[in-house]
Amino acid sequence: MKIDVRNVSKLYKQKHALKNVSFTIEGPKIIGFLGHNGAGKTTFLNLLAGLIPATEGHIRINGENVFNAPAILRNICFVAESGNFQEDMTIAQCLKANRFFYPKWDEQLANELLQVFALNPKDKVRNLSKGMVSALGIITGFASHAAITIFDEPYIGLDVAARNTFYDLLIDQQIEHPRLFLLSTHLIDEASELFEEILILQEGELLLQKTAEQWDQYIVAVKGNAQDVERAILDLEVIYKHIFMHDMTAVVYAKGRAIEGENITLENVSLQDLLVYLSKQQKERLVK
Amino acid sequence: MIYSLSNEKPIFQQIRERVEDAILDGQLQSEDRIPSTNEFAKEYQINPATAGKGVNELVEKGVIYKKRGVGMFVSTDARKILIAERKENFFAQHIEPLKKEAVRLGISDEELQNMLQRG
Amino acid sequence: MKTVQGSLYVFFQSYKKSNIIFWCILFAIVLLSFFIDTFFGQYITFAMTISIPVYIFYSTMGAKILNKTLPYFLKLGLSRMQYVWNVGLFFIVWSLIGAFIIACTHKMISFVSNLLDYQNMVIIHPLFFFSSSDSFFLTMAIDTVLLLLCLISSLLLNVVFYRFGTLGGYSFIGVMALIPIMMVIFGWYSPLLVTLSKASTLQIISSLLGMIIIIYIVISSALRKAPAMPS
Repeated sequence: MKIDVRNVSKLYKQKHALKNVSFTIEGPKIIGFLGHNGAGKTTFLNLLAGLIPATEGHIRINGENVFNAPAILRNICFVAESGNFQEDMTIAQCLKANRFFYPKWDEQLANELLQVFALNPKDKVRNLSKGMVSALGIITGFASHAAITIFDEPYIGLDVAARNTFYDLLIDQQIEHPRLFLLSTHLIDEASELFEEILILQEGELLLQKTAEQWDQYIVAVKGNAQDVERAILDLEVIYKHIFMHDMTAVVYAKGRAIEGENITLENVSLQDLLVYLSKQQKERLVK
Repeated sequence: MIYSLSNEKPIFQQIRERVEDAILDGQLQSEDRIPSTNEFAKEYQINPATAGKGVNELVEKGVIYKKRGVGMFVSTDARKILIAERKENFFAQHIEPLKKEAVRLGISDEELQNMLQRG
Repeated sequence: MKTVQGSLYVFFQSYKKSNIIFWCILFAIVLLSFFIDTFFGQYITFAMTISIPVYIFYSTMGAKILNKTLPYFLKLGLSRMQYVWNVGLFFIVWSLIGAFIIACTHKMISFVSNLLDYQNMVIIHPLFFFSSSDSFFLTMAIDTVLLLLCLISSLLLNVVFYRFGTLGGYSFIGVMALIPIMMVIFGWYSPLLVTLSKASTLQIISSLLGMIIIIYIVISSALRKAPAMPS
């Protein structure tokens, strides 16, 4: 499955939710789709699932436009943050309905997962807790066997144990039935090692798209005496800088280049930390 | 989970080192079967592709080899290969900084040698 | 084909409960009326109408359907056209069921009235404006069409609210409310009534069907690019 995004923009009431976003992703792969609140993640995922029309540009899957294209959309399972099920239906009915819409629906897996997440199939969606609805969404996502499976914040209301079950399932499924998983989440530290590729959105724009492998050399933290650090990062783009007692930490885009200098140390930046730095950078820009 | 992986080094590197350590410590003997990529992925909750990268580096070095459809095994020369490699790293990682620090503290070569014998 | 089946399954499951409750209440009222009639029938004449509450209930059903089901079905991968088709199909089936129950109830009421010899039990039905026949199939035909019209016009209202927000929705209602006022002002209602009374049942049914088709086409084109969330 190949997703091709070309110059996609989305306007909401004259405001840009997405600005000229372009990229290509190809599966099977587990992809982390990150960014802080309001960065445009959900808007993009809605576009990808054909739920809303783009203002400009197009999204193609295997060369075909996704909007109003049931033949393509049949291969996509989109588990949104909420509103995935009909309130008046029971869990069993929801799962039965899914059978009609996902051609590769795995009934056996669905039943197994019902037990794993301890759901009662006779319960109505209306009466479920947040965590239970999330679990039902997770079951739908995995049992759909859809070539492109999108989870947007899939575990609201789930505890650590249940989230762990989700990660285990994700790896299991990726080994047994590889597909393109797109996972958008706030709990980056927990999930960061699951990603093979990372996309980060910021203020409606694609900030970066890297494989986990490229990641370590792409963004680094340079630490040391302030003057030494300044000298080492002279011609690099800085994301974040912090000085404490003459010691400086500078997070920079190394973009694969080796950073050299006297008395400095280089450290990897975790995804979680990067997002913190990015939001600090954004705030500074707003203050200016 | 007996070991958990830390955040400092890339995960695939940690996996590679864990297997290497087990071979050097004799926990893994030649012709022992080692876990598959998928087993590593599940054990540490990491992407199968990442786990594969660590394992593949070991295959490239000749430390382990794949038997089709059976699994992966420690090769006969594994220990030899690893010891040679580690010796080289040992100099760069430990001796050089040791020397540097000794100079900084004004420790003479003779004094250093005595220290080494004591340690 | 499977998605059509699936959609009907979802619609049925989603609307089953509210419909069962509605019919239970309606039947309870009918039974109560019989009861009262048994004791007080000699003093008052009873006029019963089954169909009008059903029209009203069906209108409320259609007025929410878009918000309730469009995002859901789009997530399941239907195109907007498929969705509109499936809703249309569901409406037809649901109207047939409603009309069938109404017609059966009418038969049952007249059967019981004859059995217990109630002369003062009158059934009111729109059909009697045009024709004196009370044939089962004619009642059912006209009810099916009227129920379908109720569903489809309330869906149209839902579409307007969905696409143009609260402001657009209420403006639309305002414009619609002008029509009867204009009719009174310009005196259009009397020729209309004359035409209606002259028209045959078949003509009425076919013109209602024509209206339904026109509204349906308007709805389809309004939803062609609709987003999965109301504006």
